[in-house]
Amino acid sequence: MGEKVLLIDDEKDFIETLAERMKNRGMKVSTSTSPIEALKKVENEDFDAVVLDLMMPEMDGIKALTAIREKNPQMQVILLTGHATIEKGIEAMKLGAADFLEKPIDIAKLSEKIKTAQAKKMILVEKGAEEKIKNILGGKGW
Amino acid sequence: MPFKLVGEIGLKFFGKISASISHEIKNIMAIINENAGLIEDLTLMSEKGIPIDPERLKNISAKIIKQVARADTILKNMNKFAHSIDEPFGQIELGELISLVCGLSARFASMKGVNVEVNNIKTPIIIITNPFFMQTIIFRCINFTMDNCEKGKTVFITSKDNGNSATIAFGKLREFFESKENLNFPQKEEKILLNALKSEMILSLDTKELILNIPKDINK
Repeated sequence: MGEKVLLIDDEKDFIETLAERMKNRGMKVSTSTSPIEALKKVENEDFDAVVLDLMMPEMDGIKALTAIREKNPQMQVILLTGHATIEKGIEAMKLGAADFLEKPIDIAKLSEKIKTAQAKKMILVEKGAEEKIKNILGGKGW
Repeated sequence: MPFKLVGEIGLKFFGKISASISHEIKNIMAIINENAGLIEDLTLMSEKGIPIDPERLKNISAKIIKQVARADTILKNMNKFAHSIDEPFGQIELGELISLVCGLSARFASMKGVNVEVNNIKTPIIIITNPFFMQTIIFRCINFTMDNCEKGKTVFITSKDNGNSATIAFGKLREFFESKENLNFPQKEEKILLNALKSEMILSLDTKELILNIPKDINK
């Protein structure tokens, strides 16, 4: 099954076309032009990766990244920006972004980063499940 | 014109606008890039026997044309803005200058979720001033009003000819202040600009507007 991705960018023409191209590559894609609406989606649905624009009205990308990671610490967020400065990149990585890409995007690179993010998320989910089982077994005193 | 005093403020403004324009152009390039990529995808699919719907191509073409027009407007504004530094004094039409600054502020307004409406009078107001620093102070006034406007988030800009001077009003400021001191505007940098432009700024509590009074001829 293809990767489940959420695209967040206020440029409607950009995410509509990018979503179509990603669907052509077998991914399951949801889109949102509003970071506030996107946060609700993240709360109610699970995604393998979130692709998030750094500069948006309502809420900037760094704030949105923090909010997403608070709601779901395992969520893999790939940040998009017009200008990938080293400072912004470091800040984003410190806040837990999985990766950082500069616009215009190379779809092959983005697909690769989404696959990596999905694999990383699977490991985190498995680890989490393993720990839960360990805790249950330890707690029972068998 | 005390260029040394206002130079740093002007350079800061030039950098801010240039960075904003480059972000906009990058966004436009990203959209054109995706649409070109989509044509490539459709071509590859057609080579595998999936026919291309001409309507799809029409839609893609329309999206590209829209973005080219958007870039053209931005670059025309950028060109006018860049040339505003050419001469220390120039004859300008005030309404045209306000519209240009509004165009340059569009991305900032969008980021703040604010609309900007310009109501220029039909008769042109010709003034002689430093075009670049006049843009700088107008931009700062728009920015201040965007941060302090009433609910509904629309900034209204109107200009008026007063004979020897002209007025630009920015409104409506929200009713949050008990006194003008609370607004903390104009600050040091705006005061330097106002002095250089022989202009004054008034905060009108009655009309809830920020009013900029400028001379028709800075050299008189």
